[in-house]
Amino acid sequence: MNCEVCQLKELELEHFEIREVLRCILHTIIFHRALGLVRPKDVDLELFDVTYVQCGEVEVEKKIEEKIEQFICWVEKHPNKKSQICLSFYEVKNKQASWFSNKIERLYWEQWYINLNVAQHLKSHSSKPHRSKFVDPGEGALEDRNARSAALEVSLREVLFQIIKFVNEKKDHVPPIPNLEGAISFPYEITIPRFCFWDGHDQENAPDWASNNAKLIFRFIE
Amino acid sequence: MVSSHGNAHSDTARMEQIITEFFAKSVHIILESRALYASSRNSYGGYKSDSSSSSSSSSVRPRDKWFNLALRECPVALENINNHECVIVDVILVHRSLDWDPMITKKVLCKERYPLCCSGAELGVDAKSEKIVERWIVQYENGKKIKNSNLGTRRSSNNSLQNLYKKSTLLLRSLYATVRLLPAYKTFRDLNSSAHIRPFTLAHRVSSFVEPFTRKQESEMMKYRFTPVDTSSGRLCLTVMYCPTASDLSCEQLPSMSPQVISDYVGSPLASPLRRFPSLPLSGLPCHGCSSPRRHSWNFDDSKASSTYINDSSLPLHSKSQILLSNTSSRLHDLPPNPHLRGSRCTYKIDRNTNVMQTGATSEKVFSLGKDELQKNSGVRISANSFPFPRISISSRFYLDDFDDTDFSCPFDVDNDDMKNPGSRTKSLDRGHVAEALEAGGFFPIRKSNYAAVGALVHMLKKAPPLHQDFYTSEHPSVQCGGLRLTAIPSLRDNRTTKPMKISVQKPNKENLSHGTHCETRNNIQELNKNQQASISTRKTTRDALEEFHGYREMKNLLVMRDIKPQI
Repeated sequence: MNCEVCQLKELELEHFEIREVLRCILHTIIFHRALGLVRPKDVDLELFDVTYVQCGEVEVEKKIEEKIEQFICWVEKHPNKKSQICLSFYEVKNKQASWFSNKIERLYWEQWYINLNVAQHLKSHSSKPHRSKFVDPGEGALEDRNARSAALEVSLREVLFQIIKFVNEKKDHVPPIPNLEGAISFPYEITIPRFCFWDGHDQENAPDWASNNAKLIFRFIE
Repeated sequence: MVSSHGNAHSDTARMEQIITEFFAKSVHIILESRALYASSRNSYGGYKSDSSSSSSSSSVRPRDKWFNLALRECPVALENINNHECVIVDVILVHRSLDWDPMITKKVLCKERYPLCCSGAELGVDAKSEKIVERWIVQYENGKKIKNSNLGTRRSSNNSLQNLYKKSTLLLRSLYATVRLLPAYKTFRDLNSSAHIRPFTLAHRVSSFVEPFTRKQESEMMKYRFTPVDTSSGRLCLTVMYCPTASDLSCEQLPSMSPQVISDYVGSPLASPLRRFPSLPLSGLPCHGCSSPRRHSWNFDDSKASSTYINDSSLPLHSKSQILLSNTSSRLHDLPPNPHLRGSRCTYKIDRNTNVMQTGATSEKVFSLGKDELQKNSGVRISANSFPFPRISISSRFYLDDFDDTDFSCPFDVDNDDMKNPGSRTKSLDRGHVAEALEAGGFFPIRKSNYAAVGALVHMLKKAPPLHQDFYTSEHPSVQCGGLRLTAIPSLRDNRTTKPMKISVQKPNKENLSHGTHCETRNNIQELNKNQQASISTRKTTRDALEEFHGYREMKNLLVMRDIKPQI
């Protein structure tokens, strides 16, 4: 079984938009892969005029929130850098038990790469960074922010359609639906890279490059 | 052979069942988020975004298990779909004409509930005002068989069915997400959840045969075709054509009548205080020293007895007991009739329809009560800080204890006459003296007046004696001050006598001996009292001022020394 990889379009966003954007994308992907009994939950974004769908599992929501918080912490330590979050689906295969180990092997059959370019624009307009949230950015900066927000909404919609298109076009690699209780049919993990692998340009072979050139990958395994 | 033949039949039957359920599910997903009032209650599709709605697993219906997608109730979607080869769902934006009739609208909305097959003519509106904003085509294309050499085996057919079911499930997941990303969903949400009255609505039409779009229509629409799901005998196809922008849906171009808060409602502080109301007769509304014929509780007039908003801080309350005027206002009914009450009293009336707090009173009538009556009855404080019905709280009569004028009636008293004869209420209303006050949800009329109470306050202040006259009287010759008995503190203003003003500071004997301070006796005090009525305009000489200054210094030293040395 091959591993299908989907590189989502890069999104340029600000710090305060990270949470909503990531929730939208991660939940949308998982909803399409949660093939158990689902009571879909419609969620409206507060920052954008977008409605996305959650699978309704509390555990999923909780785990996504944890990963988002970890990612935000990472972003705060590495400001103005491009970053990538990987959502992977895998199957668990038991390796042949040996004298020394009884490892469980993971076979990834799908990986989603969410590419984000987190930038902070408003702080440069204020000489008092600790008051940047409250200082009037001025009319020009406000217009810029509105324009960026509108552009981000359009990009976000494109990303969601990209997900839908990928889900529609590639179905053969998806494993058979197991007869399990709950919405989640397949185990998954969300990976937040430790270091930035990009040099500021789009990387077409980012997955391969990341796996070959990563100095350290810190995995948050469920 | 027979078994394989039988298995083939069962596989075919199962496949057809999957296809049938796929059609039903896809139409359900589409109509759940496009058919107005079709979904149950106040949700527009999906479950509410709270955990409680997604956690119940006990209410799984049989059709929810199909494709593992539990949807909300949608009666429209449960209509039988006989044709399982092609189902077309048109989502139509219906513009109402400018002179639209609500009855027609109602008919349209009723049609929307069960519009299995209806056209613009049946909707009762002009066909030109219709616009198809979305067209969903669910289709099963027969005859395209998959070339697979393993189709004959049972295992392969099972795999094929599982594969079909899995792919159908995935397709329906993406359909569910797609319907919420298209522009028509926003229109649906606005119409379904908003209280705005809009001149357009959404309708839908489910049919098997439709007229194809014209070239122009096709050019205006975008098309997205979901990846078909192959079966052993054909394939399932799902296509959507939609208007790409919200402007095509005219959501933002047409005006809407949204409920708005009227801040300058009649009777509000923002409204003109002199505005007259046809329901309230203004003639003969006597006003004590007030120029305007009617008043509001928020009008701050000067010292005249006019309409003034009364709050606790403005009233010289000796105590603070407030009774909210609500259902407990029946207490006032239980009050004994007050023979001292004058004919009219101050009341205010809250008109629910106009959110008006109308007040009418005369200060003369207001101040007609004596103290005893005031003590028995309750005053009323009006707080106009609640909208639209101000809360009326009844405060005690206490502030009227100091009233010397027995003609000063209680502003918040119940008219004895009216209690005896409710019919006179109208008469007094005509005179402008009386109005009823009703709190929101209340039912008992209580008469009171804001400005009358203020008038009472002003009157009291006018009648009040000057402070300096009350400070020293024969009854209170001295005041205790830090262990010292100060018998006179001369007022700089009161220079009624040319005699030097001396301060009499009398201390306990022990302290006198210890401090060696000589204090004057009460003779000076008596003399001062005699001279209190003398002319104020007597000029003070420098010598008098100097002596006075010395007196103050002595007093000050005495106090300082007193503080330093502990008392014995």
